[in-house]
Amino acid sequence: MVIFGIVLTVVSAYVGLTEQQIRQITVDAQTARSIQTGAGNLAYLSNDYLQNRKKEQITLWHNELYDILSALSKLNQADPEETALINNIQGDLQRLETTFNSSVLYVDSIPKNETGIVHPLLKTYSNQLAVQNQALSFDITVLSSNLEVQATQARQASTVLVLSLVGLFGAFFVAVYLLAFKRTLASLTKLQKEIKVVGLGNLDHVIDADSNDEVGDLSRDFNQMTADLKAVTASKAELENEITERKKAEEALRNNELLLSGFFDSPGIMRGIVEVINGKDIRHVKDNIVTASYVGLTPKDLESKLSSELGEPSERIKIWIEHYMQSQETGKPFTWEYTDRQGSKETWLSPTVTYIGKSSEGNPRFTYVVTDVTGRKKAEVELDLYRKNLEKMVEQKTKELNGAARLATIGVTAGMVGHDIRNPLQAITSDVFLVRSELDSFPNNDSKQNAIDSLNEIEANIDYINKIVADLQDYARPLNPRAYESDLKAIVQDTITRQRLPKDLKVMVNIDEQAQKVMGDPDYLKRIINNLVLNAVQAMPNGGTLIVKGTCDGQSGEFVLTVEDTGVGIPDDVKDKLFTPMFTTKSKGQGFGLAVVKRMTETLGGTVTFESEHGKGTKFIVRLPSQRTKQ
Amino acid sequence: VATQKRNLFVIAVIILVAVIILSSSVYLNSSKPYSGEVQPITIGFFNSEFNALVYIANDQGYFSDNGLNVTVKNYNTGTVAVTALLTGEVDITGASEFVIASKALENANICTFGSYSRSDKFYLVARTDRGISSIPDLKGKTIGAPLGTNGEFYLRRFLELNNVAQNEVTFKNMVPFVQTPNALANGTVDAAVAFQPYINEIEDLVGNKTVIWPIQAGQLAYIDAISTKDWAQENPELIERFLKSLVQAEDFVLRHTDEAISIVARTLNFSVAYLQTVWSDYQFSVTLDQSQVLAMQDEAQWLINNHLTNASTSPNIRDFIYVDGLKSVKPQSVNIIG
Repeated sequence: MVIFGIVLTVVSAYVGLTEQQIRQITVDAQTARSIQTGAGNLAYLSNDYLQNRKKEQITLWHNELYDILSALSKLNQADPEETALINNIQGDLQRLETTFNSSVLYVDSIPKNETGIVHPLLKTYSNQLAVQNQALSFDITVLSSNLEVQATQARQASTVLVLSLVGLFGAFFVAVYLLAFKRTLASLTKLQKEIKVVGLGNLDHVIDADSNDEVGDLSRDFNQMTADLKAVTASKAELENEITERKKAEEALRNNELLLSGFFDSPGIMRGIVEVINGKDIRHVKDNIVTASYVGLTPKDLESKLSSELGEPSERIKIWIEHYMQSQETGKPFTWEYTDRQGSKETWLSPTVTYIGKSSEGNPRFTYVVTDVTGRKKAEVELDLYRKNLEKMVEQKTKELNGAARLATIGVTAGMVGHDIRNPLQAITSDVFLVRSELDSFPNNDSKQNAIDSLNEIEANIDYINKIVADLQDYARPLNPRAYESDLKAIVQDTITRQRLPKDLKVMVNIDEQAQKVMGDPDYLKRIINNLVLNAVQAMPNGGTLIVKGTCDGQSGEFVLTVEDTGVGIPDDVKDKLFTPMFTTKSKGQGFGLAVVKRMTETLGGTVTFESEHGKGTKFIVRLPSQRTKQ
Repeated sequence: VATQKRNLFVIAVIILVAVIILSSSVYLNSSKPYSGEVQPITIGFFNSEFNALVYIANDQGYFSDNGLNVTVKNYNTGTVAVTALLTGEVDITGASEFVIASKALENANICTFGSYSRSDKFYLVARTDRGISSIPDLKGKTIGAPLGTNGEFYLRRFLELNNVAQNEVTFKNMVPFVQTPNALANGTVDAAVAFQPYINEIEDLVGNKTVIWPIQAGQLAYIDAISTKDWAQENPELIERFLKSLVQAEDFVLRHTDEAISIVARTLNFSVAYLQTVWSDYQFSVTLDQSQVLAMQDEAQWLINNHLTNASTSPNIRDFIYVDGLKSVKPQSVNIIG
């Protein structure tokens, strides 16, 4: 561009100089033409003078000569050829003047009355003047022609230069357009687009300002302006975003405030922020409604209040401060529990305190959360009681389980022992029968009687052993009752018959007609009735009345069998254990009789209860379901 | 960097194209150098500074540039040189317009195809110690002059215009002209037509006992390039190349005057100082001017009137001028009517 500029400037200057030269040449050419005219005038005047001898022509001739010389001096001698021609013309004029003056002298020497005479020298002067005028005219013509040629050439050169200038300017324009203008336009277009981006409010947009031209400077200035603008104001979008964000933040803040407020004032939990003043007192900074209510104030009234002002015992304040300090030292929350009595009401409280930094005054600041744990504490007491009861129950159940295990062991043992015992007992029974048969053939005497008594005693003990074995087996073995319709009255009478009843025992059997036929395993019924009757007989060692009744409950339809004695009754302290296996108050017995009754009754779907009064007797009540009857 | 290189390249291309266009324009407008066969020509003339253009053209190689191998011959006068031309001794000669006018009266086979100098150099030097202090004192004296040349014409015209009758003086031929100073010095003649550098020589010989008058009476002496008409018709191209060489020398004189003087001084063995003194007496320009035609007509008529020729009618001078050559080389310098 600089080179182009220089070339253009040089060419432009040259065009200017050429134009100036053309103007000068044009002026010179006009001057030359006037000189040419003057030369013609000189020729005419000299010729006219020589022909007609008019003296006034001499003055005109000299005036014309003066005009020519004056015009000649104005010519610009820009060219050596032009200078040479001017010098030639000046020489021509000088010689012409000499010749003309000579001719004038000659003419003046001719007497005036000889006007009609032809003088040969006039012809010579005339010829000389003609030659010199022609020479002058030629030189002036050449000068004029040269000037015209120069003017033409200068005009052509000027035209060429102007065309070159136009061409160069065109080339310059094209080059400028290609090299700079196009780039500048492109840069400006790009800048315009980027400015639009900024104009839309994106003040963060940075315009590319890599180029070192004016557009680059403009871009940098614009970037600076944008930065300044951004510094003093926010963009529209940013403002809208900020407003939106602020609204959202405010909304979120309100929600959080509500949330926190709800959380902070959530019922049942005391919360707040306090400061410890010089390690001696506690200042309430912010407390929730629960705390304020607890101390009988509003949250606002509670602000800045000292715990000592609220009537808090100094000992408790001291404890709180100790725990606060502990949290500050450990950097961890600290929790403890204590009871607070307000009048007759005792409340268990569980505070958790946390160090959260220092206030502007340098006092350590803490949050506290106090939970009413009275309910939990009561539950814990009850739980403790339950736990203790449970321990007892576990102990009881453990014992029961141990008993059951023992019973199970006994059952197994009873099965094996019963089998092993019953076989020899069967042999003994057979032997007793044979001995008794043998004794029939013996004479009646005391020895025979003693032998019979011994046999009776043996048979009684065999029965007792059989019973023990049967009880053990009945208790231990799995029960699988059969569903038969049994004749209860026959079973009762058969059972009582088989008993060895004392002589002073009165037996009363009363079976209702509806209760005579009952659905149930007859073996089980025999075992139930036998054990209850035996138990009643044993309860009446000194005699009494045994009452066996069979009824049917009109409402429930159950079969009710009662075995009642008038014996000593059952002591209160053993009533609970009456149906417990291996529990017996008798010196003789294994404690399985009533347990077997209970087990078999329940197996048949019924229940067994008793009513007993000490010294008056006992009544066992067996209830069997009616379905059994129906079955 | 790549963009700058590309820009420089584009600018360079544009400048190169502009330079090529301008150079082509200059080349097309400029005359093409001769590229044909070199032709030998012989020119002959009287050695004088008025032949400066020929010397310069020869020295600067303009003849060679235009395909001319020039041989120069020297003659005592232009008239002698023209005689040599007519005998075919030379192809071109340089002589005054008076010689042409004289030969035209003889209808000689010559023509001028351009004047290459004009001068006002002829003087009449008279010895005062021979009783000559004014022009009328010439009456009865012996005057030396190169008879048959324009020097004789200027002398006679001078005497005529100054009321000295031809028969009142005695003319003595001073050809070769170099004898003039001694003729004046030894009293062979009382006065003599002279020109530089002989005038200085005369003054050196005679001292200050001389009086000098210009005798051309304001009429310039033309030195023309002359050939035979036949040669001109047969060799128009050679004439053009010859004239072109002289025109180039003319331009050289205009633009390098000092160097031109040095060349002429070196050629003629003259001092530069002398040439610088007389240089302004000459107009070195190749022309064909109507004034020369008038002068030749006047001279021819004068020769007839003074019975210096056998001819009785003035010839048509235009018939002895070949204008085509100079018209093609330098048309603006051709001003011949008809």
